[in-house]
Amino acid sequence: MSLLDGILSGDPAAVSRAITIVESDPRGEAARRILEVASARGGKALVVGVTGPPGVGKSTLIGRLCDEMASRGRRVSVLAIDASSPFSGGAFLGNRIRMEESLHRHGVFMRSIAARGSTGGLGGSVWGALRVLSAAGYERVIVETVGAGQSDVDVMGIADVILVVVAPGFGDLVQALKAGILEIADAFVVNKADLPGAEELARYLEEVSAGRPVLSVSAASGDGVGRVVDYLEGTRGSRRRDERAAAAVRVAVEEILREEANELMSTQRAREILGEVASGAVSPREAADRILALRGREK
Amino acid sequence: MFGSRPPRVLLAKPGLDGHDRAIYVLAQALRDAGMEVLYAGLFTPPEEIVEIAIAEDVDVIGLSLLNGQHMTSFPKVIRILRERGRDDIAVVGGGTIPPRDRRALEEMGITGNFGPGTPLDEIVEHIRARALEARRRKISSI
Amino acid sequence: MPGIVAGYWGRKLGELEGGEEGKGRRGEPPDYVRWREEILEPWERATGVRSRGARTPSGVELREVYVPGDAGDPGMPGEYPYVRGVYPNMYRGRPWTMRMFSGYGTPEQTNRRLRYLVSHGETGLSLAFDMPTLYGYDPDHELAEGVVGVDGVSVSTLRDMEVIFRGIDVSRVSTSMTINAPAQVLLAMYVALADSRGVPRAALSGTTQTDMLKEFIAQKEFVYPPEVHMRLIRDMMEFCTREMPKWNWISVSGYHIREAGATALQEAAFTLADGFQYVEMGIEAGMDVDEFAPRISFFFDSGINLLEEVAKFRAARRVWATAMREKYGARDERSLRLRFHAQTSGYTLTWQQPLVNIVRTALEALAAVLGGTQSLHTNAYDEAYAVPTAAAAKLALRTQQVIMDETGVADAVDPLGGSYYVEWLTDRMEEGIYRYLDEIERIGGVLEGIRKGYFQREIARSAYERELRLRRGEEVMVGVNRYREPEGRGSIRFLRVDPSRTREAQVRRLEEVRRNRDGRRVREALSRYRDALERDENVMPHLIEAVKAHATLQEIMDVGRELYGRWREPEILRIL
Repeated sequence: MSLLDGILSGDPAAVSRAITIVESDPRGEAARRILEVASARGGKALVVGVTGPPGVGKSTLIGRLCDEMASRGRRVSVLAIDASSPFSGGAFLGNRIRMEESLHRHGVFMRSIAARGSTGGLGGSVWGALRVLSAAGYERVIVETVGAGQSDVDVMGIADVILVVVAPGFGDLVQALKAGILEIADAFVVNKADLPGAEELARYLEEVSAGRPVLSVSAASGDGVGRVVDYLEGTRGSRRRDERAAAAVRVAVEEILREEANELMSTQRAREILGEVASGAVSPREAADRILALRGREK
Repeated sequence: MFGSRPPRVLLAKPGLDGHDRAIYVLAQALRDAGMEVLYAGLFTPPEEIVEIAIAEDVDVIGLSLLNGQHMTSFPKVIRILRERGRDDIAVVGGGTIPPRDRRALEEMGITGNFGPGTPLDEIVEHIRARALEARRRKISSI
Repeated sequence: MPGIVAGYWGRKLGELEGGEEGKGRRGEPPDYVRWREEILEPWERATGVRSRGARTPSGVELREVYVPGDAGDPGMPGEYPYVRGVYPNMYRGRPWTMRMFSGYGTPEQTNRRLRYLVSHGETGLSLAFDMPTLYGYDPDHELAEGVVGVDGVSVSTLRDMEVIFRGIDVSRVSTSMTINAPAQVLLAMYVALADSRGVPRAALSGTTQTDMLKEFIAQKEFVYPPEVHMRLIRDMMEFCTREMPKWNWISVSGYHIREAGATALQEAAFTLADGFQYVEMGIEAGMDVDEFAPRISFFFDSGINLLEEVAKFRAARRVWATAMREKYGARDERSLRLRFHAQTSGYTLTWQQPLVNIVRTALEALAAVLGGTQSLHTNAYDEAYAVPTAAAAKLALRTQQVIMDETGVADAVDPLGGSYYVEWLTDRMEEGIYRYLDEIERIGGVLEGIRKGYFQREIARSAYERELRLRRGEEVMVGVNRYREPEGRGSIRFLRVDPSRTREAQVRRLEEVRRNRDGRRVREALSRYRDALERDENVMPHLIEAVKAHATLQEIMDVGRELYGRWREPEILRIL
């Protein structure tokens, strides 16, 4: 069986390898072919973004959501996004431990993706992975990010609906909200609802949520998880999908332009032009125009 | 095809053994050496380890046990990998492994089998080498 | 809550950092400054030989020398706050207990070993259990394959306990059981055994380790979520306080925390935090602190940095006594005395040049003795490979005997007391302990710290930092990163236990027990135990009934697994 057939028949090993390819070399020939076939198959998974500060219990919650969705007959998969170390490029991936039992029980496919320090490229990798998962027949894909701020906003650009998870007792909540997570939420999930402070937190969020739902759960016991899934099944997705799509596309455009700029700057002709700028013969702006004029010629 | 993708490693403890000092130290060293590191947690059965390794498309599975269960659990992991036809995932071992067991594991294709006091760099470089070797075996035709 | 003061640690820390007059706890004393300017620096300039920087493995920056202004008054032995020892005459009264941890294989093998020890006059027995027992599984469980009887004895029913203690009078020996997650079940078996022999429960003496907090923090031999284990420990505490006054229901353990990678300072701080958590548990259960606290004892690691270890033991005693009195309102001296067992470090043992381990163990044992330990286990030099051979274990015991009988360090109480350096370092450790206790309180206490992975991350980070220091050569392990020799592995002989034969024997007995017991009685006992769990009623009487009905360890532990699920660790790496 070829890799492409494997994707379409939902074989986890094929799906996994396909994600590797679209993630590692998104504009290579193999990735292009995979995405072509995947797109032709169609299929559109509802992409549920789950984000929030570390320690609020996202993984336990996701495990519960998988249980609940699977028991309602949905095919579910999970993509977990982690930051790479800015120093080594290495990364710790995947918060699987807390949800492994749920994954295993229901045959949920989970994959971890490293952000590799790039802001724009990530959106592309995740998008490619989502196409593959959709083509493989997954109806729901949960995309998890660590809730560290701006990078989440980028990834979440391609989610259909975004849950922001919070819990009482996290001093850094205010920070997270400042980082822009508050604005991207379609709904808030207050986890650890049985702990002191949870009610106050829910009340506060209701005040600032401008009509967006605030759902209280205890991921540890499973209480309230059904209501979150009810909400997801009932929603038609985000009200702000256009804005988000624009943000995601902008990031991709910027990334392509940046890469192209790097290529152009490294050409022989560009280096000559740079020399002229250094000697004072040409202004930087004029040099830029001349370098941009080389596009499509020297490759 | 795989671009500049860093080596991807899954660490696991496939037995009744909570001694995770070495796993956490190694995880940090591998991250700092530029690798992508996953940890499957404690008491993960061999079947689950292989499932995770395949779903995450890793290059190396690093197994650690200090409870004497290595001769039971390590071979299971490699057997399941073979059953699934995956010779493109390397298996590296570590723990309290006596020399005789070390040789037996090596023959099964489980390399390293590092004991306490092994310099970190030695382990990191061994894993990197095995990752590159596994990467070369990875099927890239679509 | 009665007797529990919030914000205590921060205030205590403020007191110490503010500096009490005459104690010289902060800053550089004038004697030192004069000496450095007039003697040291001119000498360094003249000779060109400069002092290297130094710090302890816990990160305490060290000066070249310490002077009278650095040392506070540590008080006297046997007197609050017990810095110099919990008893007035210490080893002049009697030597520390040389308690060697043992037990492996089948109950029959362990019984032979115990009887041998008893016939040689030993009255303090110490039992190690195998991995399936520690995790609450029977030997026929899939996860037990390959480890039955390997690291300790295998126990799954009362029948095994009866065999282990065949021919041993449990009213006359003291039995220490290194058991945690299923401690309540093993205690129930021991009580059931005594009941069947007509030995009064009040006559039983010994220890169950029972310290689950350090399991979540470090050793990871847990089964249920933390609050469930805490509740079972509370039941044990109440039961023992009522019916078994000579039983140490807990041994609060830093050993495993240290072995998992913590520094000496973290070991002391986290262990004390755990100890105080158990004290709060008892107070919350409505008991008077002096009713149960006298039975709390500790278990620490003794590492290779000799003087930091000594300072750690001394500081831990002072913090325990002070907080027990000031924060928890204890009045009974026995509640204030921090009594501890020590074991030499396992992670300092190397595969390379294994005979060097004998030297390390001797120095670590010396640290524990100079630190005032109540009992001591010395590791065998071959333990980096496997369970020790008899000869290696004997040599380890001989090491203690040399320290006790030949070196003379036991001839004066706290011989290092008053050393400028040791007193100063004791103060630094104490300060560091208060700093951690304050931080733990801020993150919401020990249980919340466990749920958030706080301790686990702190330890993982320290373990890695140590590896990096070794890699850079800032910390030295002889034979590992300095004075290396070509491959020396396999040069010593070591012991092998055959797990498959042990498993066969154990499964055979288990099946026989299952065949011969009254199934209905087992089911009823388990269901009463389940009811007690759900009603929050003390489970001990029901556990004793269940083991008497020959319910297996795993059957009993499964009741809780069904009710509460298994605990999965929080993520440690991702936010590291």
